[in-house]
This record gives sequence, C-alpha cells and structure tokens, in this order.
Amino acid sequence: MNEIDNSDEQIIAALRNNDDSVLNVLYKLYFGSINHFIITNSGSEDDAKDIFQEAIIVFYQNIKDQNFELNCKIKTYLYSVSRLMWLKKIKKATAIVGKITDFEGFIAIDDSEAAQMEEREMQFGKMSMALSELGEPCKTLIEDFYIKQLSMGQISEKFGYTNADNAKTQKYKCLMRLKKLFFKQEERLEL
Amino acid sequence: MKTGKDWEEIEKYLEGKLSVNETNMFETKLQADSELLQLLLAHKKMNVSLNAYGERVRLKQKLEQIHQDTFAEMPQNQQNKLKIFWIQHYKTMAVAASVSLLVAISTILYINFQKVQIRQSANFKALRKDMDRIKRSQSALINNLNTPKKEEIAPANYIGTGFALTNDGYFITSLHVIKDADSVFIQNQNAQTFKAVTVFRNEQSDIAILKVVSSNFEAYKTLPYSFTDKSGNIGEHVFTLGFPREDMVYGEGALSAASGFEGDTVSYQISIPVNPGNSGGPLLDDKGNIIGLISGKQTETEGAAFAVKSQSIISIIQELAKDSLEEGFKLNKKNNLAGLSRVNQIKVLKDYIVTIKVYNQE
Repeated sequence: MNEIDNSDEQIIAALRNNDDSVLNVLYKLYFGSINHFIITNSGSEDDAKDIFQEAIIVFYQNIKDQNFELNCKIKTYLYSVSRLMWLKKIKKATAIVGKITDFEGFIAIDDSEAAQMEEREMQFGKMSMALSELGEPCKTLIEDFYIKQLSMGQISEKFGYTNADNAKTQKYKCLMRLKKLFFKQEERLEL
Repeated sequence: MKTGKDWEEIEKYLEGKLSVNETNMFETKLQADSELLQLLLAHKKMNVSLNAYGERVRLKQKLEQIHQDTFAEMPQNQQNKLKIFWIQHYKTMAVAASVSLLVAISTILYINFQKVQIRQSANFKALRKDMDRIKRSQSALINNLNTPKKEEIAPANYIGTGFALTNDGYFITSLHVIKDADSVFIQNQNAQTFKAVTVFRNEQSDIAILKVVSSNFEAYKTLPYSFTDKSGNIGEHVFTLGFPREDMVYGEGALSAASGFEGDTVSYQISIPVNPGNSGGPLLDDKGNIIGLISGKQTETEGAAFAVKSQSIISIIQELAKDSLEEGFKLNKKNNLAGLSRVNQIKVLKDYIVTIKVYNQE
C-alpha cells in the first residue's frame, strides 16, 4: 500500500467498499496517539486498546452510513471520539475528573451523534445479555449464523440436523426465545 | 398464535425472496392481521439488532487480531510498562526528587553545623577556653599596647569568666578554669590585668575564689548585686555575661530545672547558649540578683547548660568562714540593679565581670 492509499478519502472509500484491510492501516497510523493520550490521563494500555477499538467501531459504523459526513481528519475524529469515551469512563469511575492533558486538537462530538453512539452501545449490551441467557444449543446456533455468518446448510451439518429445514425450524425456535429475552431486557432497562 | 409457516413467510418477505405476487398477497394479509404485523415488526427489529451485534463482534475480533499482530512482542511490553509508569508518574517523581535533594542538602548543612557546634564545645564540663597560638599572640599584643604593665603578658593557656565576690579584690570563678594553673590573672573591662592567687577551691561545687595580689588594683566601692539565698523558680528569666571570646558576650534564657547534670542538686539547668569561656560567669535573674555561677553544659543535649546555685555558694562561704579564713567574706546584701533596664544593668555589671586568664607550663 503506498502513501496515497493512506489518505483519508482512500480509507473511507475502501471501508465503504467493504475492504476491511484498511482497518489495519488505521490501527497502525493512529493507535499510538490515542495510547499516549489515555496513558497520560491515568489509563492503562488495556484501556487505550478498548477505547481505541470502540472509536474505530464508531467510525466504521458511521462510514457505512452513507449519510454520515466526516468534516475533519480521521485522526482528529478518532482522537475526539476516544477522548469523549475516556472522559465518560473516568467520570463513571472516579466522580472527580482531574485536568485532561491533550496532545492534539479535537472536535466536539455533537449530542445527537453521542446519543447515537450510546444507543448502539446499549443495543449491543442488551443483545449480549439476552444471548448469554439464551442457553445452548441456541446461543451457538445464533452466533454461528449472525457472527460467523455460516449458511443454514453449514449449520445443520455442524449440529447434525438431517437437513437445512430442520436447522431453520430450530433457528426459528431459538429466535422466538431470544426475542422474549431481548424484549424482557428492554423492559428491564427502561424501568 | 402464529406458526412456523407465518414466520417463514415473514423471513422470506424481509429478505425479499417472495415473488411479486406473493409479496402483494402477504401485504394484504398484513393489513388485515395486526398480530402478523406486530410479529413482522418485532422480527425486523430483532434482525437489525442481531446483524448489528454480529457486525460489531466481528469487527471487534478483527481489531483484536490486528492489535495482537502489531503489539505481540513481549519484551517491548515490559519496556512499555516502564514507559507508562514514567509518563504517569514523572510529575510525582520530579517532586519526590526535589524533596530528597532538598533533604540531602539540608542534612549536609545541618551535619556541618553540628560539627561546628561539637568543635565549639569539645570540652564538655570545662567551659574554659583553650586559646590557640594566633589568638594568644594577638591578645598579648593588644595587652601590650593598651596596658604597658610590667606584669606578665605571656599568652594565656585558658580563658574563663569570673566576677567580683566582694568589693575588696575577691573574685569567684569555676574551679575547672584555674585547676591546673601555674599562675592566674584577671583582666577587667579596661584591659587591665592583675595577678591573682587562689585562696579557696571546692571540688564538689566546682567553684574557686581568687584574690587579687597586684598592688595597683583599686577596690570597688560597693558591689551592685547581691547573692540571693532563695531558690530560683523554673521558668524564671535568667541571663549571663561571659568571655567565650575577647569581647564580653551576653546570653539569656530561662531556668529550666532545679537540678543540674545527672541530678546534681547543687546546680540548676538553664537554657542559655554557653560556650567555652563562659565558665565562672554569673547567672542573674531579671532583678539582677546573682542566682548562680555558670559551670558547664551537656554536650549531647542541645540547650542544656548548668550553673551552681547561689545557695550552694553562700553555704560554702559560710562554712569557709568557720574553717580557714579568719575574717570571712562579707557578701553584699544590697541590690542596686532591680529597677534598671537590662541594658543599664549590663552597663553597671560589666565592670565587675572579668576574664580569668590561666597560664601553665605544658
């Protein structure tokens, strides 16, 4: 990959074309600065990893949304999102936030975008809770289908179902259960 | 209750796998069947959620992989920890370093200061002053110029302080000041030197009485101070005048304890900074009564000096009258200093306080 490929436009174009290899590029280019920021502001290297990956995920999801417009450099955007998330995290942990030491400019993430980030995170949390309560074999089946993206054929083979239809029926049952758990989760969270 | 068949239809509809005809039929059915519509919406929501969930987990796994590939080396990790520690704590460490530097410097200064102190008071009990050669010749020179007397002007080996006991040429000082003396001289404020002889010594109380034998000594009219026979009170303000150096030095403090070194009951403990040369000086209270005689200090304790009580001196002198001296001493009973300010008290006192110069052959 040459220099031009690493420009912001190239990276965004590649992501929109489902070329995930640029994630590698993003990681190598920008992890260092976020790492430095988090560590300086009393975080660990693990914190830096988590925050940076979250920021990449936010960026990735936004880029996939064709309506999203990036009005600063990717570097600044990742730094700003990481900064926001880290602030939120230490506020939760310590109640008192000392002075934050910054190393580069950052943009304000507007409230609607922050709210969207939070909503996505919450949905993700609810889903993982629901899945953890689902029990086997449903959990593995759902994960195989939605995460590993196995086909119904592959799944029925793996689980030893006589045919894909049986697998489908099983998946239907599992989804019904998951749905109950998921919406129960929703109620619980909204209480 | 909806069946698996309805659900299959919903799924196909959502995936767009129904034919145009089937889609139309399904949509008509949806309008009529609200339960089916609910099911469809819930399923749609589930699908969106699950897809988002799956995507996120996959992305996270990918990033984790990248992270591991990029930062896998362990030794670097170790190094990083050090770097992280440094980044997070360098401010604290800078403060700690400055503090320890400060402590180190002040400790060195303090130790040096202590050394000076120790050197100054090397001679623990005996606060007589060992004169070094240069000072001796210097003082001899001064004496020579100012008081061209015929008497000895050879350098003194030790110096102490003494003060008039009576108006007619008896002086009192510490025994240790004149102990090994071959000859003793007293020098007054006008730098006049008179030869003196020891007429009495008391080892126990460490006091000695000298008598001036030089013929040119003029007797005082009276003494301005009296020796008190009352016990001093702890906390009482006291002061002394003495000769730790060529010039008379004033020192003040308080009476700290009713007993002296290691519980010695003939002495007081006082908190006056004293130095070699102070021995034999008077200890006075605020009114100018003699309440003691400076005898020494404790080297290992700061600010602990000792003085023989005036009561002890009085009782020794009374005993003395019975034993050896036919006449005895008449101690002055009248104090003329009581009403004066400290400065004026000293102006009067300075004529009655003398340097004791001790000569001996080494």
